[in-house]
Parts: sequence; C-alpha cells; structure tokens
Amino acid sequence: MKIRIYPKLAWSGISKNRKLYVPYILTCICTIMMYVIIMTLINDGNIPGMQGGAALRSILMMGSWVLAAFSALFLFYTNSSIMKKRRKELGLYNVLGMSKSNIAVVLLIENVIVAAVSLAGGIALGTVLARLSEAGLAYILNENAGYGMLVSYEAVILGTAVFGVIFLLIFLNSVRQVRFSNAVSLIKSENTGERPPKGNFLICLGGIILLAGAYYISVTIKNPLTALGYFFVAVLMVIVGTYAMFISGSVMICRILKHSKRYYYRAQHFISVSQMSYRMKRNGAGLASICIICTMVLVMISSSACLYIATEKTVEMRYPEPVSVSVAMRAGDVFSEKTETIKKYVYDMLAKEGVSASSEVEYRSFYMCGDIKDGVITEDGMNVNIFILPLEDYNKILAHVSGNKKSESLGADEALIYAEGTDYAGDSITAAGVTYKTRRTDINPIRDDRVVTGLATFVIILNDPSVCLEHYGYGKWYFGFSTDADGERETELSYDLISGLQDTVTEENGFGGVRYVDSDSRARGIKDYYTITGGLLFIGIILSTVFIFAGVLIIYYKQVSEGYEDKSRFDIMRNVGMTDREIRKSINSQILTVFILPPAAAVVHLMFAFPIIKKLLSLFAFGNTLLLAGTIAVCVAVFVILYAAVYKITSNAYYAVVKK
Amino acid sequence: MSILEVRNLRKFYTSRLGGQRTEALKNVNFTVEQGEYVAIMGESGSGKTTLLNILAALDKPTGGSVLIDGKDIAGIKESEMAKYRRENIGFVFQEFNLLDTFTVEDNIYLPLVLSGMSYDKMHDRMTPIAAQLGISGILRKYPYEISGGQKQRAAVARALITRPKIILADEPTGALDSKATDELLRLFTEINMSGQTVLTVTHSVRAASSAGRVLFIKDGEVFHQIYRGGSTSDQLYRKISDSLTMLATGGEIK
Repeated sequence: MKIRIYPKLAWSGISKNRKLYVPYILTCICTIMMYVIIMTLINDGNIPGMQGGAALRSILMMGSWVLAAFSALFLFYTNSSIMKKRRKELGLYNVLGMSKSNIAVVLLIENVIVAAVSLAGGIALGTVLARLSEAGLAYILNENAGYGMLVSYEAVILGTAVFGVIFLLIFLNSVRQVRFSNAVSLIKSENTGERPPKGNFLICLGGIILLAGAYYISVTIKNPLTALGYFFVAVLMVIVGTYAMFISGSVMICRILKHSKRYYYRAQHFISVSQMSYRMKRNGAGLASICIICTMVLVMISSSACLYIATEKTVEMRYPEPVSVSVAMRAGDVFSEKTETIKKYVYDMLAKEGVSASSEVEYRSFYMCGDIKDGVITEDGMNVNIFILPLEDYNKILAHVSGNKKSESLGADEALIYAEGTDYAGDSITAAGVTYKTRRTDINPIRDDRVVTGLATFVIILNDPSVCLEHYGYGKWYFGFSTDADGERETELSYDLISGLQDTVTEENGFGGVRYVDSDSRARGIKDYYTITGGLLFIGIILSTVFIFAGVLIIYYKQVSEGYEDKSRFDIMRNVGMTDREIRKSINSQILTVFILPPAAAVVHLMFAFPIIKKLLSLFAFGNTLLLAGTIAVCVAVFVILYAAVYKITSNAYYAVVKK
Repeated sequence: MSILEVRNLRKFYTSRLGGQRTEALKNVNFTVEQGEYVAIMGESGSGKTTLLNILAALDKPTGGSVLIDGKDIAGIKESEMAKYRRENIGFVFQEFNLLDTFTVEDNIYLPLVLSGMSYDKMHDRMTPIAAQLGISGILRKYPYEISGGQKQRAAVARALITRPKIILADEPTGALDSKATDELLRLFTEINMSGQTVLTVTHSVRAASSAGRVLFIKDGEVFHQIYRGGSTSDQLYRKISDSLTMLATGGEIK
C-alpha cells in the first residue's frame, strides 16, 4: 500500500467518528491538564516553601496517583468501547484488502494523532492554568500566590511519560481487538440478534448481600481508627454490589414484573418493562459507573468542604487556650511541687519576652490509653483515652469555664464521669481496685489531646485520687493561658518554650519518666489545619472535576448509542400503530428512569455512608454532625442541578440521532 | 361492497431546493372488494411504495382520496390515526419489523395491548391464529432465536390478531428463501380463503401469482390488470411474466 494513504485513512477514521472522538479527546485533555496542574504545584511555585508544605505535597501526591490510576482505567475502557463501535468500519477495510497489519498502522497513526492533540492541549492548558490553580489553593489556605507563568519541566515530562504509557496501552488494546476477530464477524458484529437479558439470580443476591453488608458496617462502626480500614472494605463492597445490582438486579426486577400478566399486559407497562431490561442490560455497567462516580464526588466534596469550613471551630475546640504547655511524666512528679518549678520557668520566660499571661488554667491527671470493661478500667486495649482528675483541679476548670459560677463536691465513694464516644452506661466504675458510684457531667475538663486521635474519651473525677498512685504510674500536667501577643508571636513563644522546657524537665533536675514536653499555640494549629483541610478540599475539587467529566462522557455515549438503537424501534412501533407522541412519551419515561437511577442510588449510598464518614472525620477532630449533614445536602442539591443540566444537553444528542 | 376504494390518487414530491416537482403517483384508480386477494406489481421507482404508504395513512396524498370501508382516511384526525390504523389495517413488512425486546407471543400481542385488551381475551384470539400459522411451538422464543420464515409468520399473526378489515403486505417474501416463500404464500392464500382481504405490493412474480388479481403500476399509473379467473398459479405466473415483458419493452398488451 502507498505510504501516503495511511495518514489519510487515519484522519478520516477520526473525523468520520467525531461524535465519538471529540468528547473522548476532550476528556483526555481534561485529565492530562489536571495531572499537569497537580504536578506543577508539587514541584514549583510557592507550595514547596510553605509552612506545612510537606503535608500538602503528600496530599497532592496522593491525589496525583489516584488521578493517574483513574485516568488509565477510564480512558482504556472508553477507547475499547469506541473500538467496538468501529468494528464494522475496520472489518470493511479488511474485506477491501487491507491486511491486519495495515490496519494496525492506521490505528497507530490515529492513536498518535489523538495522543499528540491530547498531550499538547492538556499540557498547554495545564501550564496556563497552573498559576490560577495556585491562586485558588492559596486563597483556600489563606496564603499568598506567586505571579507570572508557572512552567514546570518536571510536570511536563512526567505528564508526557505517564499519559504516553497510557496511550501506548490503549493502542495495543485496539490492535488486539482487531487481531482476534475475522473480517466477516467484524462486519456482521452489529447485526447479530440481541439475546434477551437473563438476570442472574445469584449475582443479584450477591449484590444485595454486599450492599447490605457495607451498609451494616457503616452504620455499626464504633472506633474511628478501625473505621478507616473498614471504610475501604465497605467502599469495595459498595462498588461490586452496585455493579451487580445495576447489571443483574434491574433485569431481575423487570422479569418479576413480566410474570404478573395483569401488570405487564397494559399499554403503559408493556413496552417500558420489556425495553427497560434491554436498556439496563446494555447500560448496567455504565449506569453503575455513573452511580459510583456520583457517590465518590459527593463523598469527596462534601466531606472535604465540611472539614474546611469547620477548620477554625475545630482548632478552637482542640486548643481551648491560645498557648498551652503539657508535660507527660511520672505520676508522682505530676502530683507534687515539681510542677511549680515548670510553671516558674514559663513565667520567667514570658517576662523575658515582655509578654504577660492571663486566664491561666492548670490541672493534673493520671493518664492511660486502655479500655473499660464492665465498669472496670484496664490498661489493656487501645480504645479509650482514660484520665483521672482530682476534684480540686476539676473545680478550678469549672470555675474557669463558667466564670466562678459552678463547683462540684463528691463523697469519698463517688466519682464524676465525663464520657465521649464510649458506650459506657453503668452507674459504677472501678479504678485502682476501688469501686465508685458515678454521676455524669457534660463538661470535658481535658484541655489537650481532645478528640485528636479520634479515640473515645473517658474522664473520672475523684475526691482524692492518691490511691491511684500505686496503680497508675503515668500522669500529665497541663498549663494553658492567653497572652497579650498576636498569634504569630504566640507560635514563636511556644517553640521557645519547648526547647527551654526540654532543658528544664530532665532527670538531672529530678524529674522522672518524662515521656514528652510540649507547647503549642492555637495560631499554629490553625495554619497547620488549613494546609491539611485546604489541601484536601483542593484535591477533592480537582478529582471531582475529572470524575464529573468522565461521568458526562459515559452519559453522552450512552445517549448516542441508545439513539441509534431506538431509531429502528421507533419506526417499528410507528408501523404497528403507536402515535409519535405515545412512542416519545414511553421512551422519555424510560430514559428518565434510567437517568434518575444512578444519582438516586448514590444518595442512598451516601445516607448509609453518613455514620462512617462522620467517624472518619472525627479523626480530624471534626464532630459537627449538623454541619456535615448540611454540607452533604447542599452538595447533593448542587449536584442534582448539574446532573439535570447534563441530562438536558445530552438528550439533545439523543434526539438528534433518533430524528435523523 | 368494496373494502378499499382509491380515486384519482396523486402524489407529488417537491425537492426542497429549486422546487423541482417529481410525480410519484399521477392518477391511480382501483377498488378492492371484500375478501379479495390483490397484488400490485411494478418495478423499483414505479411508485408502489408511495402508494402503500398512502394506503396505510403513513403518508398524505397530494390529491384524490382513499376510502376504507367507505370511510375517507383523509378525514380521520391525526390524533386518532394511529388507533384507526391499529384497528383496521394489518401490516406485514419485508423486514418483519419484530421488536427484539419481546418474545414472539408479546410481539403478536403488541397491537392488542395498545388497544387495552385484557390478557385472557388476547390469549383466546391467539390460540387459533398460532395454530393456523404453525407457530404455537415458538411463542415463547425471541426473534433472534427463530428463522426468517418463522419471523414472517409471527408478523402475519400480529397483523391478523386485530381482525383488520384489510391486510397490507409490503414485499412480504423479499427477505425469505424459496421454501419459506412458498410456505408464506400458501398461508396468504389460506387466510384469504377464510375471508380476509389482502393487498400485497411486490415485484416478485411468484408472490403475485398467488393473488386473485394483479395490478401493474408504471410511471405512477395503474397500467394493466390481470384476473386469475380459473387459471392455476403456474398459468397466472406465465401471464404475469408476459405482461412484465410487455411493460418493460413498451409493447402493446394483447
């Protein structure tokens, strides 16, 4: 064959199928662009030098991996379905005398064109938009963005390499699809009669079990730390279950409906039910993908937005005092005059810096990470943070919090209890071998370590906890205060306090069992939190954009391919004596049903995922259920509007095909 | 009484650009009596498909009228047209036009379901028709599982089950092999014997030779017609062939 004919055929192969290729190339460009943006931000610009930049970089890095993996899978799948649609055309080339290796050359050129356009477009757009994205990220983080173009050679090279490999795999797969089929079957592949869908009862049952199991996990999960592991298990179960239900379950439902003759043989049900099962069989996988994409986007955006919105509130809760000092050491030292030495050092230091402290809070505690079993505290297990405080210290905190309005008193055999996140419901507690009658308080006296680990908190307040000294050797002293300095100064102070205290609280100075000496400022917490929550929000937005793009592409292809199928059915139904209006009404309602199913299922998934998402967010010290519910509701509302718009636009593509 | 009456039927097509006018049907006149079996023959482009579309009310004539059972179909409202068509005309197409989403049985029920008939009544109608057409054994199958001949018999059953006034068939044997063609033509004759009016449009001499009367269309006009009279199918076949030769060579009809 003449060399010059190859590029010609390749070009006509793409331009004749532009209905399929244009959206595909747009999606390629979008994913490459996002990848280049992330990579540029990781390697250049202001982020590497930011405070908390390392944490942000690793969040972005993780996002880039997710993006690359998703793009590979999605583009691969999309291309192979395009190739399936082009079978007839390629079969014709074969029949007209092109060998399969000739066709492979044409495919190669086609793929090179697609790859070149996508890479050029994606990299160019990514580079142009990188600075804008940085500005967006900086805005989220309350930081400053840089100016001018941001060009990262690393990003360009990495983007080209990663997507080059993806395109190579896609090409090899198209060749494989042509190779393992003969010319006649290539041409005839469209005409083979469609088998009626047979819903597999076992697959359907499996799907129900998987979904029920995943929901059960989410609803019953208790411990946030184990929740993370279970979360991924539940996600996998939901994905597989959703596919099973959409592919098999829907067909099963149609079959059951068919069995009821009085229901089935009615004008309004007859055509819908029989065609729905076909539609679902064709689109089951696509619809399940849309459903999963919907769910992912909603979970990602609502949880990251929620975390971000709540950042300052969360930090305030975590840092009740603007500056804090805590020392974990031998309990004997915590409950002794030695804490005065430390306090004196802090005041000396503040005086030297010309800063004065106010609203000081201080308390001593026994501390252990353990569990509560049948009203007895044990040091086995890592489920509950247990504190034991003297009533004297508790009353000081109570006075601080309530403005001297409240105080408590306890008998020798009584204990006051604050519990959060445990299922403790008894009326007695045994600590250090002594059993106390319990009363509840709803004021958490613990000022540090609050919900940070996401573990349950259990605080026992005793009139005289000195008996515990023999049993629990480890304690904590906390000292917190406000200052007349600004946040930045407070952060510097806390750094100075750490290094100074580390030299003061030592074995040589008579302190024993020192586990850590820490000082922290609320201002620093806010900054740190923003890099994490802001980074998560940013990556959430980027990934959601790509996912949404992919979802739209799936929807678009579904509409176009259904259009071609429905066209002939349309004609037959008209001939059999249905009016155009009846036909359109029936098809409209089917398409609408098919369209509403994925987001509807996604919302159900989301509702069941709510408990486990809340648990996971508690790892980030987030505990505002109402805010989470509100954010999810807003996200769902916005998403539904967006989805409806996509439906409207793509159904125009459908009617364009049907009417032709 | 004539079940179908076509008077001065004309159909022009005007091309969208330039306004050039094509005459698909010039002046067509004929009637079909109750219980007749009529075949309309003509070459491609002679206007026979246009004629059928107008008879089926799928297309509107430029002039003239079509009366089915004395009623002018031009007077039927657009909104009632589909219902009218469903209840009065049965269709058989070259490409069968069975919906692949239905079983054979459901394909046949389709027009009745659209008319809102109950399942039991439909079932009662189905039994004798399925037996007559020899498709009782394949009712539960899907179109992709059966042969072309079987598909066409299912399509005939779908046309018959509404008890239409007339059956319109468009090249019913066009997609069938010779054995299936013979079988189908035998069925048409049988159906006609039981009183059903049949009008078929075809360019197959064999298909036409099973009819009681053959109309020839050329250049948008009814050019000639042959009655079977007492002749056998083979004799009729020869007569039709002669007529076609004449039509093609432009000679005079003897």
